[in-house]
Amino acid sequence: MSFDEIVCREFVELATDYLEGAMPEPTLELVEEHLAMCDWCRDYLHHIEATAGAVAATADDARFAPAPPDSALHSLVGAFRRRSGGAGGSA
Amino acid sequence: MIAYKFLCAGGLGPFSRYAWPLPRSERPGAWVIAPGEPTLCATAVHGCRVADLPWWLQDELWEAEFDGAIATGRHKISAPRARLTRRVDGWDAACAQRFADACVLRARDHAVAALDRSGDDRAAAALRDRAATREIERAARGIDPPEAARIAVSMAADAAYRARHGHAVVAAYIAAHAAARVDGPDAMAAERAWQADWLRGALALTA
Repeated sequence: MSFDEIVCREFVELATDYLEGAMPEPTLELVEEHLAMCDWCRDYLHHIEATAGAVAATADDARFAPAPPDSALHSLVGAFRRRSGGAGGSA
Repeated sequence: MIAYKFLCAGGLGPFSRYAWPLPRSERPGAWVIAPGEPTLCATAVHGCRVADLPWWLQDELWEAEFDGAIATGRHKISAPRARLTRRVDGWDAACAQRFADACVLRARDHAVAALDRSGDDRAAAALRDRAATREIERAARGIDPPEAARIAVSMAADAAYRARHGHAVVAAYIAAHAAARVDGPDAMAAERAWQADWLRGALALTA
């Protein structure tokens, strides 16, 4: 028997879209109906929100270095592959 | 249109955390105006008809005036603007508990029906005789029901457990699903209608 509602397992897949406000209306109503009665999913959502907030805060924090440029990443990956003894990627 | 709005303690929107302007000195609160196009959900102000209330229980229940083009969803309405007109004082923790306990009795009855149909008269009688939420939980947990009734009996116990811990909205949800489990989807709709009628009567709702 299935009903027009979502369960916790489905909510977990939708939590990011919900937080980003990127959810179509019918799904949004289902999600909020579920959140109204599921304290576990509300807790989960608050944890995701807090984590996203903490990660966003690090972007402006001088203690965290910016990501290396792509060219540096490619050089590092190439060096790693040479040391590993294979070109990698071939099947 | 006069309808209702459940808010968290302090007049906060349960999802938006928006602090609704509250009525003062017999005067309605300020209008809350949706920020954009009043499409049904994303940018509208939401409320409940009486029939919608069981899905959205929160700490505070307010009567509210909704204005502009009203859209109706499955279990809510939406409008471009709304304002709170009065708090429904009858809805408090004690009333929520009475409602939760009433839902437990309904879940018990669905479990009893499942036991009756599966031929376990003794278990059905044992559960039917229990009226207090804690007793229903204990009795339901103590039954070893036939497979056909197992989930309905578990649901009665779960509804009682959640009611005892102050989760009226969950007890109502479980009772509705117990009805569906025993008598199909139409029974779920009937159970939700029964819950709305309970709230209408207990709170003397007229909208």
